[in-house]
Amino acid sequence: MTATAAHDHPPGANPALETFAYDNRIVRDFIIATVGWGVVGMAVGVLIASQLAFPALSFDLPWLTFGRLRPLHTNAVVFAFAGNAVFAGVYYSLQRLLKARMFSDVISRFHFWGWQAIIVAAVITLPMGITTSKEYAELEWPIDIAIAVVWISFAINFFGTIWKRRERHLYVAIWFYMATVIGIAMLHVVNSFEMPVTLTKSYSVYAGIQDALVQWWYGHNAVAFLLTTPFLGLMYYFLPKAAERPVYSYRLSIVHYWSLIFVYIWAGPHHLLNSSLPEWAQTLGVVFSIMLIGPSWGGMINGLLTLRGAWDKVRTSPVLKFLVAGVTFYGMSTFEGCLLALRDVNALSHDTDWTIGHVHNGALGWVALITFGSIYWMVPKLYKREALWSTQMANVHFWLATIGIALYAVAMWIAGITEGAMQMAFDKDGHLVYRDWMEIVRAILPFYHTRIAGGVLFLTGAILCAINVWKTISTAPAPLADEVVQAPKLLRDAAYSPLITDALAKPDLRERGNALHGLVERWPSLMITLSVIALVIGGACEIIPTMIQGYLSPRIATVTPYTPLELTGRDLYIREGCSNCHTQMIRTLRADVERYGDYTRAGEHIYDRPFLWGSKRTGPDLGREGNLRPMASWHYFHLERPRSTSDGSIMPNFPWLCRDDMDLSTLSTKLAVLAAPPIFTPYSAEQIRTAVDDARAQAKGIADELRKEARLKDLPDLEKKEVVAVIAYLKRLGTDFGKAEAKPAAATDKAAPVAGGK
Amino acid sequence: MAKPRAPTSSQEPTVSDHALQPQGPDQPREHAFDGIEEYDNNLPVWWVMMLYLSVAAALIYVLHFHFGPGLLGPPTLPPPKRIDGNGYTEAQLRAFSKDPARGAHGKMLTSKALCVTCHGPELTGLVGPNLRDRWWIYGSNMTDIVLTISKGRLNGAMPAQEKNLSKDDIADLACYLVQLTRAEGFKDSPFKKPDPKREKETPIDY
Repeated sequence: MTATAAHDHPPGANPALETFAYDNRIVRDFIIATVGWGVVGMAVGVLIASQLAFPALSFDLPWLTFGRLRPLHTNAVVFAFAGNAVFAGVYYSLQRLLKARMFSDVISRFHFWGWQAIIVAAVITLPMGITTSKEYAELEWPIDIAIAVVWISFAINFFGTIWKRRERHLYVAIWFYMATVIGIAMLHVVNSFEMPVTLTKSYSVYAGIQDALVQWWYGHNAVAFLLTTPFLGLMYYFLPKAAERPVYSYRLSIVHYWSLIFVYIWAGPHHLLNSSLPEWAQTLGVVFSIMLIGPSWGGMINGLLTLRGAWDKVRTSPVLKFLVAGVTFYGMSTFEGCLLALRDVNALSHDTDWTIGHVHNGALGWVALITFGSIYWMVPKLYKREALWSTQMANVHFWLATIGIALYAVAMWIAGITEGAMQMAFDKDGHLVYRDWMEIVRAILPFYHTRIAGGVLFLTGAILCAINVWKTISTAPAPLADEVVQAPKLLRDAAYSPLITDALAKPDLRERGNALHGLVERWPSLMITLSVIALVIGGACEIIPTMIQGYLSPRIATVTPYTPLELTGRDLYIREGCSNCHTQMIRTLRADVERYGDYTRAGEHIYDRPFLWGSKRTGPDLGREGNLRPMASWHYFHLERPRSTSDGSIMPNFPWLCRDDMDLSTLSTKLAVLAAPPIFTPYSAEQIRTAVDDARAQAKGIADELRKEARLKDLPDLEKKEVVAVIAYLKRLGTDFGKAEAKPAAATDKAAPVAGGK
Repeated sequence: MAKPRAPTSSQEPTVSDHALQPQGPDQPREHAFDGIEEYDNNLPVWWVMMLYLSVAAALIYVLHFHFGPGLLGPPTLPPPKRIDGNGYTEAQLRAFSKDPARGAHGKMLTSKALCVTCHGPELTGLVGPNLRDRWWIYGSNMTDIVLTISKGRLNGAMPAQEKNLSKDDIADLACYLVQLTRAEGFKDSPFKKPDPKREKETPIDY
């Protein structure tokens, strides 16, 4: 270390002190955005939790149904609340840890307003039903591009600040921020490849199982790199600051940083266990989830052990209360995550409310508590106040939040295990005990009520936080003076090799290791390169073989593309967010096969863009709905008013499907986009040209079937209604598999691909 | 922790601190970042052990599932052992179906079982299929009908009645349906037409 220190100030050089000011305004803006969007996102959460218990709360309004609001809740909480919190914390701590103002004030402003504009776009488009249906990536392609542009601006600002830093080495918090900047860029770009049809509609370039794997590689690692690594970075800054204690172990930081970012990427397939994903990929997901416990807990214990000798401060400081509870919840939910990733536990827990409970342990317990702790730390300093407007109110907030999480988690654990156990229960004769889905719904309703109470408590706490922050701001001195600091200019390393030689010359293994890692921290380009390598390996090893295997694996001859009307129905299914509550993946489990029919094969979904396997069965699986319920009239009555056919159902009414006419204006374009490269769905030019007529003809058939019902006999224009398309899609679901291979010659003739060299 | 420590003792490690920090003294590194210092403590032994154990567990998992006895591949479902007639044989149930008293009792039960909601007030079909024609989806044996009534069909679209009715009630209900069909002489028109894809002609010939 002494040798390295000598190189910090080469002989002859006497770096002059430079005077500069931190950009506190951008941090203040991001904090206000965090608190504001946080209250909005959590309020939407409470609303949709209430809708599951009381379906009348959707008031038969399209934009107020669960399927459209649930993506709004997740996006608002993940990207608006947590996203802005990350930016606030990064902009605050990065400048101080590097002794430099942000690279460019203009880019900072662009980043701030660009991000808020994206959130506003989400708030507008998601309730309109403009969605890709891929979880946490629901926003349509123009917004995806905007996200990429704004993220790149953030990256330029971030790396630019590192470039002009006045601190030789990068502190551990910055390593974690760096993983976020690189990781999210990679995940977002790869998962967002889609072919636009119109400004508000696109089709994923990945289909079926490949789409599922890419999506959950993205979904799992969005949790890793937007909800884990940046918050670990915030913890590494704010926890030692608030505790006024040194970080417990530098070595632990090194080991758990590299192991965390390397291992995390591999674990995505644990979201697709017992599905038609190849077994080797499922096993990789399981074993890397098991190995993730160590790296995750490394962060927790480094935080908790930092508090040695300072635990008494937790009693008086609300900041430390939030941070300590947050770190503890992090440890708990990462352990829970490893548990849920085991095949056998997952068989019970997957698609149930246990998953919902798990994600909220992480989101409320870890992300939100760290966010609130950081905000309570930053706000008095940024607004030149001694303390918060009310420390007592922050303490009350802490207890409301903690009790709220406890209620939420316990309710979802019980509900999830109940659901799983009831779905899998067999009687002695080998029949399912609870064949009627309503029995399961009735059993978990009380826990949905408890969940609302937990959510309301947590939301109340967030509102108290907003009041506290607002009151602190309003008592701030009118012109907020800049925070001016002085630091010596950083002189660039003249030559690299003497530093490397020095480090390698250390006699002691431990010192040599520290010195070498010191070089990685000293040369950001080296750290970036190594981090990118660690991040890319896992995804590449899982995704590339699946892409290749997808093309090599034998097709199921009877699986054909959707007809124009079914495609229209599928897009309506996506618009209404049906996949938020209904899966289309019959797992390779006896209980699933007994209940729904033969398990889902990968080859059945090769025309599914995007895949609609879902991740939660609030209602039953629809993978073979076409076999299970072929009656058009049942679907009509059920969609119009679910409780007319299923007493006690908690599904919202969809009366507008029976009222509104289908929009077929873009249907030919949709087929043309699907038939064109790089998608190559085998639609013929003839099929594309006559798409609308084909759809009308098929709709006529379904309308005639519906008219056999006395109630529907005299409905005018029944064949034009959206519901007819949805019924056509539902009647098709899962029926291709196991169909007798009728007239293969005629089928190939008709299905000659347009772009495939006709 | 309950009492605030005296300033002098706060620097000395307590018993619980020792438990968490098995080895190595706190050695601050010489550089601080924005006032944040770092110790260069050893990794806690239990944490290192956990890391190694998790890697070992991962290896064992792979060996167990892919090269050992772990269950992989398509599920092999043992055929469920069904007692289709709720304990009665087909012959017994067919004998019951000749008993007008059972049929009359069964007719009374149609309101308790709410059959009419889906199958229509005359059981000639509404959302559910016509029960007075000769077309049966799940077979026309007494055991088939008893199974359908007991366990329901289509994941609860046709609700299971086994918790609602006793096994004799269910047998009586089946007797009523069979007697109805016999008396009506397989009347088809003008009631709900059978769905040719699902309903097969399986006349009651007993």
